[in-house]
Parts: sequence; C-alpha cells; structure tokens
Amino acid sequence: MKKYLLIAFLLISFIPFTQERGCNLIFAGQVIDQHDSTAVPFAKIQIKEANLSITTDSIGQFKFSGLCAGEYTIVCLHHIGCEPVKFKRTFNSNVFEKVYIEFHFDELEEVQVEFTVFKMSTLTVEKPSELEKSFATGKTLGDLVKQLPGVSTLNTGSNISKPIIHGMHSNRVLILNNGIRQEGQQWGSEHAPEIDPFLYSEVSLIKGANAVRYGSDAIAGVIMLEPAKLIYKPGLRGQFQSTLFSNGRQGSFSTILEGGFKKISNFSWRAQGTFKQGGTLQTPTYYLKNTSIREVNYSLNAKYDAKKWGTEFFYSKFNTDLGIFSGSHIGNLTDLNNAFNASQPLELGSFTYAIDKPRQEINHELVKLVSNFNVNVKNRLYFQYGRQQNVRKEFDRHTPYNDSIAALGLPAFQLSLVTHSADLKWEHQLFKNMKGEAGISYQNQGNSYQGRFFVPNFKKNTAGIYLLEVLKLKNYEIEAGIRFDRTDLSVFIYESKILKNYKHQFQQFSGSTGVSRNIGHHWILKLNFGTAWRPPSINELYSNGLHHGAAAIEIGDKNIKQEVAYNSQAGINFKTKKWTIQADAYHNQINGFVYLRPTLPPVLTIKGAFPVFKYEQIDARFSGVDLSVYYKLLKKFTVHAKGSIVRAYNQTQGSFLVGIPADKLEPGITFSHQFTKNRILNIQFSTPMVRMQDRVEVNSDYVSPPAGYLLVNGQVTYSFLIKNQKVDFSLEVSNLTNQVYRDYLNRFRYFSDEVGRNIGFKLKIPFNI
Amino acid sequence: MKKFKFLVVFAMGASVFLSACKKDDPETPPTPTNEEELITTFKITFTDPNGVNPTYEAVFRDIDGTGGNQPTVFDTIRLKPNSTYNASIQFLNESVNPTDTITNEILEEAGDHLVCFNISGANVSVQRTDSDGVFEIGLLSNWITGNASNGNVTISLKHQPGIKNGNCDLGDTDIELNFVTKIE
Repeated sequence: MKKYLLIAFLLISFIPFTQERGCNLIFAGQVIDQHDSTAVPFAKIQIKEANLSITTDSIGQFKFSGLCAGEYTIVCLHHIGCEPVKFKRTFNSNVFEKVYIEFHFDELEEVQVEFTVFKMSTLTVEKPSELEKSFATGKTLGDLVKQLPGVSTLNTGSNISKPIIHGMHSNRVLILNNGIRQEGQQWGSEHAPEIDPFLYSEVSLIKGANAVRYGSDAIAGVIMLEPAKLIYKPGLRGQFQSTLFSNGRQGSFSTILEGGFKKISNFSWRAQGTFKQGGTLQTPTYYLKNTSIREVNYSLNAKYDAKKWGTEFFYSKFNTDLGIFSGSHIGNLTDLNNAFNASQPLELGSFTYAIDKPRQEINHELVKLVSNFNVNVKNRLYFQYGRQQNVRKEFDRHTPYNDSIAALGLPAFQLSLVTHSADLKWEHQLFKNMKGEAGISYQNQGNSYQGRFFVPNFKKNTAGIYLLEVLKLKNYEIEAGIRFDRTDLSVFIYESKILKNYKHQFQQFSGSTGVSRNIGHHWILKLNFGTAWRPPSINELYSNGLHHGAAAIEIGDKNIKQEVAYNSQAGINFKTKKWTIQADAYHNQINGFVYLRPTLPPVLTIKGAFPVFKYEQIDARFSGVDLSVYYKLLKKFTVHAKGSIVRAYNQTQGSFLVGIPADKLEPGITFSHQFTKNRILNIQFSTPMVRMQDRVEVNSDYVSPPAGYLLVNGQVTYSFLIKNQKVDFSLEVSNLTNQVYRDYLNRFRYFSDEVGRNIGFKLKIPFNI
Repeated sequence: MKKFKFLVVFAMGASVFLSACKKDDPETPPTPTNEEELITTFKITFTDPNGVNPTYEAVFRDIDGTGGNQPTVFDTIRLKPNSTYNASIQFLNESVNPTDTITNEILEEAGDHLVCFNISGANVSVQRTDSDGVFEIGLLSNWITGNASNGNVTISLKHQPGIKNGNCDLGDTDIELNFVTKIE
C-alpha cells in the first residue's frame, strides 16, 4: 500500500510566536486536507522523541505544551491505510503550524476516493472526479452531478436540467449554495436551479434522507456547492476559463480574480464573472427552433480571518434568458397529438442566437454574511445570514390580444420570491471521543405573482433546531442526530374575486443514526438510517388551472400534509492497489408522497377538453443500487463503470410511479500518462447506456417511453506548465456517433429528438499579476 | 491597522444589510394582482342572405376561463337543410366591463390567425370567405347545408405567428370547440 500512496505535505505558515527557552514551548497547529482545504479532525499527531500523542479536534486543531527546545520528529497519522506524514522540526520557540496532507492514488487524480470518515459523518459524500468535472465544464449543474452514480437529470429541452437523485427531484432535492439553501421556484419541473457551475470548484453530493443537518426537503439528497477557499496571500491572481461547443455554437467565458493585501494578511477577496451564449441547438437531423440561451453571472467574495474569529461576505447574481423550443408550445390536446404524431417538429428553425418567445427570464441574487468565533479549541460558533431574491418571468408565444397590453411586453406571468435565512451553529467537543454540532435556523419567505395565476402569493416562516453527535472509536464511528422543524404558511388567494387568507402549519421531528466501520486497510462499511420531511409546496396545495406546455389541468389540494421519508442505506467502499469500488444500496419509504393523479372526467374549456390531474398523497417506496468500479488494468489504463438502478412503487394504488429514471450503466476506459509532474495527458472514452423504462403502467402517459440508447462520449485533457502556471486544455465530444434518440426523462421527448454530436473545446489558464 | 480591520468588516456587514433592505420587504402581505386577459365567449351567427331562414346564434360561454366553474352555455348549432348561410364569428371577453371584443384584435393580427372547421357526420360544407391579403382567416364563412343529418363541427382558432400558410396543422390552438350540429 505504501508504495501507491504518496502523501505530500506542504508547509505554508511557520509562525514563531515569542522567543522562549526551556521546557515550556507550545507546538500547535491544524491538519488540513490539501484537496479541499478542509480541516481533518481525528488525525493523530505524535512527537516521537517526547513520546507524546494527541488527536486533532473537530476542526483539525492540535496543541502540545511543555515541550523542551530541541529537534523532534513529528508524525501525522491522518488515515488508516495511508502512509503517515513525517517531518522533523527544531523548536526554539512556540510554533503554530498547518499540516497539509494530500491523498494521491498512484498519481492519478481521477480515482481519489473521499474518506469522509474524517468529516464527522457516517454518510457517504460523493464528488465528481477532475475528469468528470472537466467533462461537465460549461454545461449545467445537472450535467455535472449526473456523472455521479444514482443521479440523473429531468430535462425540459436541452437548456433546462434538474438533478434527480434516487428517482426524486425538485422539492425533494436540497441544494446548498455556498451554505445557503437555494430557494427558487423549485417545485416546477421546468424550473432549473439558478446556479453558475463555473463559480463552484467544490461540488459534493450526499444521497439519502438526511434532514438533521440540513433541514427539511433533503428527502432524496443534498447537493453542496462551494467556491474554492480564499487564499490569504498578497498580490493579484486569477483564472480564465473558456468553453466552446459546436452544437448551438455555444461559448462560455469565466474569469476569477482574487487577491490579498500585504498590510492586512488576514483579508482576502475574490471577484468572478461568467458570460455564456448559445444559439439554436441541433439534433442529428434538424434544428430545434428557439433554443438559444444567454447567461450573465457574477459574484463577489471577501473574508477577514483572524485566528479567533472571521467574517465572510458573499454576493452572487445569476441572470439567464433562454428560449423554449417552440415545437413544445401547445395550446391544447389536439396540438399535443399533432406534435406526438409528427416524426419531426412541424416548425423547423435555422441557426440563430436570437431568443424568441416562448422564453424564460430568470434572475437570482444571493447575499450572505457568515461570522465564526472560535471560543476555544473545543468550541466554535458560526452565524450566517442570507438573503435571496428569485425573479422568474415566463413569456408565452402568444402576446395578449389587447394591443395596449401587448405593447407593454409583460411576461405571461412573473413570480418573485424573497427569502431571508439566519442560522446559528455551535460546533463542540463535549467528551474526548465525541464531537458534534447543534444549531438553530430560521427562514422567512414571501412569494408574489403578476399576470396569469398559477400559484398564489404566500408568506412562509420556518424555524428548526437540531443536535448531532459523532462518537469516534478505534474502528467505528457512530453518529446520531435529532431535529425539529416547524413551518407556518399563510396563503393569499382570490376565490370568486374575494381575497381569502388560508393558514397552514406543519411540524415534524426528524432523526438520523449511522455507523461507519473501517475493516483493515481496504474496507469501509457504512450503515445509515435517516428521516426527512418536507411541507407540501405551494403548487401541491393551491395550483388550479392549465399547466401550459403540459396540456393538463392541475389541481392542488389544501388538505395535503407533510411528506415523511424513512431512508435506510448501506454502503461499501473497497480500495486496493488495483480496485476502487463503491457500492450503495438504499430503501426509501415515503409516507404521504405527493403525486399528480389523473382523474376523470376531462374539463371542458374554450380551448377544448383537457385531462385533469389532482395532487394526492400516497405511500411510496423507492429502492435501488448505485455502483462505481475502477480497475487498473495496466499501469496507464483504467477501466471503469458506473451504474444505477431505481425501483419506485406506488403502494397505495399498487402501481409503478411515473417519471422514474431507467436503468443506467456507463462503462469506460481511461488512459493516463504523466510526462512530468505537471505535464499530464488523459484520454477517456465512455459509453452511457440507458435501458428503456418498462416499469410504467399502460396508458399512464401520452406516449409510451422511448427505446433505450447507447452513446459514445470521449475526452482528451492535457495539462502543462506555462511560466509556472498549470494550464488545462481539453477536447471532448458528446454523442460521437450522432445517435438519434429520445430520453424518457426529457419532457420534450414528446416533440423532438435529443441533441446530436457536440464537440467541445475547453481551456483553463491561471494567472498571476 | 485596528481601524482598517474594523472598516473592512464593517463594510462587509453594511453591504449585506444595505442590500437586504431593498424595496421588496413587504410589511403587508403580498396581494395578488388582477386576472389575466381571457376569451370567455365564442359566438357564431348564421344569417340567410336570402332572408328566408331565421338568423341563428350559437354561443359558448365560460366566464371564469379555463378551470374553475364549468361553462354556462354551450349551444347546439341548428341549421335548416339545403340552405346557405353566412356565418360570422365573434370572440369576446365578458369578464370585464365593458365587454372586450377580441375579434378586433384577431382581425388586426389576421396574418397570424386562422379559423379552422372540422366537420364530422353533419351534412354541411364550410368555405371561408375573408382574407388577410394572402391567406383566408375564417371569421367570415359560407355554410351550405345538405339533407337533414346530425353530427359535429369543431371550430378552432389557430395562432400561427410568422408561420401561417393556410394549413391548420401549424401553430398552437387558442380556441377549440366541438359543437353538436343538427341539420333539421
């Protein structure tokens, strides 16, 4: 094992405090994971000569006192199965040192496995590898996370993509944007998360119900997005990133600038901006009319970090304007049928960057302030305030008949959601082997609409309190947590032109327990049980009207109660010189699962008759398996496969649930060659294979699920040094064979094929000014 | 130095609270705005150019628009056999006062609209008689009835911005009403 694990450490700060002689010196510091700059708790630090040993606390800190001056060998045992970090130090004065550790697996970056046992969690935290990240650069957040097993995307055309975890999406997937719960109109399947993936260098995923730490909604899982940690170094530096795609002639340009000041070494800042523009997309045989997109995003980040306390400010703005494929805009069932029966869309376009109606215009603004206060080695406090404003405008193809109204150019409807959130967190170590966190959180939300009614205005207040403790034993780690949340919802709705106010209250306890065990050097076993819940979303309670595009009348039910999930999960992590395997199996029992049930009779309107769907609660179960396997075939070749299976069942009605991802397997091969330490070439081919979804009820959908398909994707990445800066270059192709196919999870499968071959060219250049 | 630190932190904090205090912090609960523009009523009027048969009017009316309450009126088209009628179509929004005649706006955008007639069972043929200059519109039409018979006529209004070519398959449907039709 030793041979294959190269552990590097870097010494960044070496700060002598005061000059002191004799046996009263202090050696203190912090153990930090080089990859994501997070603290490594529970690492063991030894001073050989003094025969002293200590374990780092929850924030990776350690402190030895009463040392005599002299030379010592310091050993940092940060992980079972990894070679210790060893170094020599001569102490003449008190020393504070940051110990950086790095996990490398045979010098291949893409096969590192996250050892989350150290991050105070018995849950499996998954992260896309560098190659996976590179492949998704310039695409949507959905495209990025769907590279992890167990994740798919729900698409509305090609520009709108939402992550599906273990068969669930929208309000059942929680997105933590920089520590703040992302609050948009996420109930809608055609409402993509308002996220600029260029900003976030750290993307991690926790699958399974886990409400305790993150609050309600985390029924299927949590996606955590973090920008790179700020670096406290004077000067000005940054990074330029560009991606160009052949399909839609799309270009993205993103720049990060960051720096610090000599005089205030504890202060660091960053500014970032992204511009993205794409034109009409193409399937192998035709253009998809009106599929252009434009995005302008920017963010600012600054932090002052004293030893004892720190304060961080973050601001981001996301703006997008995107065309909705015009062939999908239908007035009634006849149109829908015409669209189904046509072998290709009745309206075909040509290439343009112009965005026509129907279209969506979305702005999302986030302001965040976080302060932390390190009371002592064992206690740390965090306070976080966030404000989000989400404005969504949807423009119909049809302008109002009335000229004076049409001339205003107003959207068919506009939704504006403002969310304030405040969180207080206390990280603590109450006993020698036990660490944990406790916290309270509060959220206030107001939603208002203009134009066509789909959901009413509301005000919502949510408060939660939780406690989570982790007990660390030699080979075990045991976690338990409990949480209580309460949501008060006040809805303002016109009924027969009279304004009515309805009040709802939802409250629920949730809990989680987990155990993780290391067996030898190669195995980690994890077992978790967690509960999560969510209050019904506003559309489930109050929507009442025609869902344009779906050609269906959707009716909410005011009496819907919360949905509660009970999730059991087991995972195995196996790693040797040749193999890296991660397998997870889960069973998610959801009581009061809210779903849209088709009901009779159809409703007669001036636009014809429409089918009616009503929101109902049923009991449902989701179970499945996710697997990823890497096998090192030869020194430079790795073969790998990722796969997932989901089975979802409506227990109340004894039927399959609709819209569940089909079985998926993605085998691939990677060739890696390291010319020098900084000059690396990777070539990867993979073939995502998706089966036809045959677990559907007869006549449960307008059109039966499309056939399965096999795609070929490839990418070549090459990194090298220019003036001591590591430049990354990559060339990739999606759908190499220009396969004509339709995907079950794309709502536009009714109307059009998926996009064809897409060649991408990507460049990342860091710079120092 | 101390002062500077304080300033930096203060500036970061202040900027948060400044941006947090933007206008949209409603003290009062948000109030829903007015209803959208609706077409509540469809009216087709049949007149006999020879003045022999009485004028006949068939109406569909759903005052609260799609969903909500059911339509209040959905007439049957009743025409005399072996006759010729001039038909004229009106679209109205009767949920506002005064009633808004949507037909005028459709006429203004005649190049984007087409009224289509789909007949099944009834012994009647329909010919559009108006034009946007290039293609027919269908707000005015000529109905020639045959022998007594019962069936259906589906009348639809297609919105075809920039794509109108006289064909009914294109565009999205604004109105679609399936009238029971009796030639008696």
